Amino acid sequence: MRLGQGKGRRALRTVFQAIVALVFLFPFYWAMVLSVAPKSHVFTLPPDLLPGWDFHPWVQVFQAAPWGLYFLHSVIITGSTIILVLITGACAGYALSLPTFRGREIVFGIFLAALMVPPEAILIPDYVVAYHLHILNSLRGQVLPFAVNVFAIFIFRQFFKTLPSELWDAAQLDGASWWRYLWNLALPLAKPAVATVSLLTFSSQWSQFQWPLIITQGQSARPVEVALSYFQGFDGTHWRELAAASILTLTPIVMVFLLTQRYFVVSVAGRVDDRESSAPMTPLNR
Amino acid sequence: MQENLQTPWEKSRPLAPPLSAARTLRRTTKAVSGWLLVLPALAILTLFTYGPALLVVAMSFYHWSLGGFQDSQWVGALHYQELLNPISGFLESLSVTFYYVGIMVPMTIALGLGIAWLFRGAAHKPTPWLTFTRAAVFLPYITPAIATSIIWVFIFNPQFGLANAALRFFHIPALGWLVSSTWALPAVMINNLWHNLGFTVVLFLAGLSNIPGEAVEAAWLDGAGGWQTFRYVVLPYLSPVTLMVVILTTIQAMQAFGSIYAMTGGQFGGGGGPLNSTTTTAIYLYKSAFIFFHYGYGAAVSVVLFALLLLMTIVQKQVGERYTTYQ
Repeated sequence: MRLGQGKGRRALRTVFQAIVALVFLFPFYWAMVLSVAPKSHVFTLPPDLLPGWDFHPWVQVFQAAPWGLYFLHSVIITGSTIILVLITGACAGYALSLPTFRGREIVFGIFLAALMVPPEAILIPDYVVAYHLHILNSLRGQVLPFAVNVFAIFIFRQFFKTLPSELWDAAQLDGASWWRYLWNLALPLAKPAVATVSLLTFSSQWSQFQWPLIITQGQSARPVEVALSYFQGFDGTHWRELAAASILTLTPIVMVFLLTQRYFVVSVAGRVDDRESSAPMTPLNR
Repeated sequence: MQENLQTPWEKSRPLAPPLSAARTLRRTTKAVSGWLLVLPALAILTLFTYGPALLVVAMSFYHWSLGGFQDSQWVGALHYQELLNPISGFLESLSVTFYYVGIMVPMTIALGLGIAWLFRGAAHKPTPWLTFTRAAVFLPYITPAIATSIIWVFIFNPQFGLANAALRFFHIPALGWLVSSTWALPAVMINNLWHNLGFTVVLFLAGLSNIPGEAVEAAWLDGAGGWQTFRYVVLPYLSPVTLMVVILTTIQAMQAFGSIYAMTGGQFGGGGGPLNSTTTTAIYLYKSAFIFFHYGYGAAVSVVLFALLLLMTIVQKQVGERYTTYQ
């Protein structure tokens, strides 16, 4: 693209880019500053952008609540959801890519219909279902409703369709069943699809809030996000501790993002060209 | 490509000799295996999506008790009559939602497109600087809304917050933000714009990188200026992405919950204040069912929300298709 060339314009563009990036990063910086600011510096006017160091709030946060337990819950919930989404997604996606599967058009349509149902609209009946399954206030209850992701199915289907048919023919000549073909040949090749689905599931599950808020009472199954919200309720006036707790919650997902950044962005944008499902996988529903 | 996978005997079945037992077995496995593979996904979706989508309609006609249908009382269309009654606050929540969506959608498109245009560059090999700055813009999108909304609560604090400090710097009178029924919703909007823009920017960047360089160059050679090239070459190419952004932003905005909850004191009665000024339909729905425990009434709210989202998506698609240029 030739637009906006010339040294002056390019420099101007870089300056604007820097400003925009700073605006987006600033709240994170501000939270970090608040969490380590000496108490006297929090409520000053104008705000002090570079106060001193005081790690007392961090100690306080860890004393105030069993964060280790909450993190463990979040990790178990996120990890098992990823595994289940991968299994259900790979199996269903593989079936939908099979030319010998009669009725795959119908099943595809049924899956597509699930996308038309906004999660918000079925919140209450989902709660009723969870109540009757006796999975309220449990970790299972935070995994099962998210164990299938239609977008994951579509991603796997799209991937398996790109595998050359000769691969399947050769496998059949060698006497392999469809199951062995899937397990030994197709899945190892599907690593990019597995990575995409894992990343998007991780980010959506780690950010899950409304559902766990509704179905958990007490500490026994509470994930980090809900714990943070309660902490805000009890300690809303303790800015420094609250800022430290927020950073604590943000850290895992931010780390994962920084490590896989390139891939992450591609995963989100990747669905743009696919007219069939017409929407990108929105990793977050909140 | 897939057709040659069909084994010959499938095509010429009527004339073929009777199948051997082994072949019959294999054929049956093949036919059944597909269904077996989709079964887990279909079962879970039935339990948590298809079933509830039907159940919510049924529930809306009952004074619902958690025990189930036998414990619940049929009330007919009563809940829907209550929805229309101004005292219930539902219509007010709808107008808050439309106000919110009506501002969020155009803002998201304008800012998203603007920022994407600012960060455009070679699609497959962006410079480290571009990679870094784009990542900065995208970062908020993947963070949990609860955690970042708490930071925005600090920023919008009327006495010690940065927002008012910035206003004072420009000699603009300070605002109440989250304690003002006029400015609470704009504060939520700013938070959510910051949080979700990265997603839109990524979509627009993908759209921009799909524009063939020759098209832009041709316009350039024909003497089109920067604005003309943008208006007559770039924008038409971006129309499918824009349509998608409109639909996704609408859906996202109508379902915003965590950020409003955290910014308006959800821990104390479900949020949505002050004076219901941030009670969107999503918050209203949550409060009806899980603060006041009117499950049946909440179900009626859900049905209306469901219908509304469906209707808006269809209308936007229909209108959008007319103005969308596909390559």
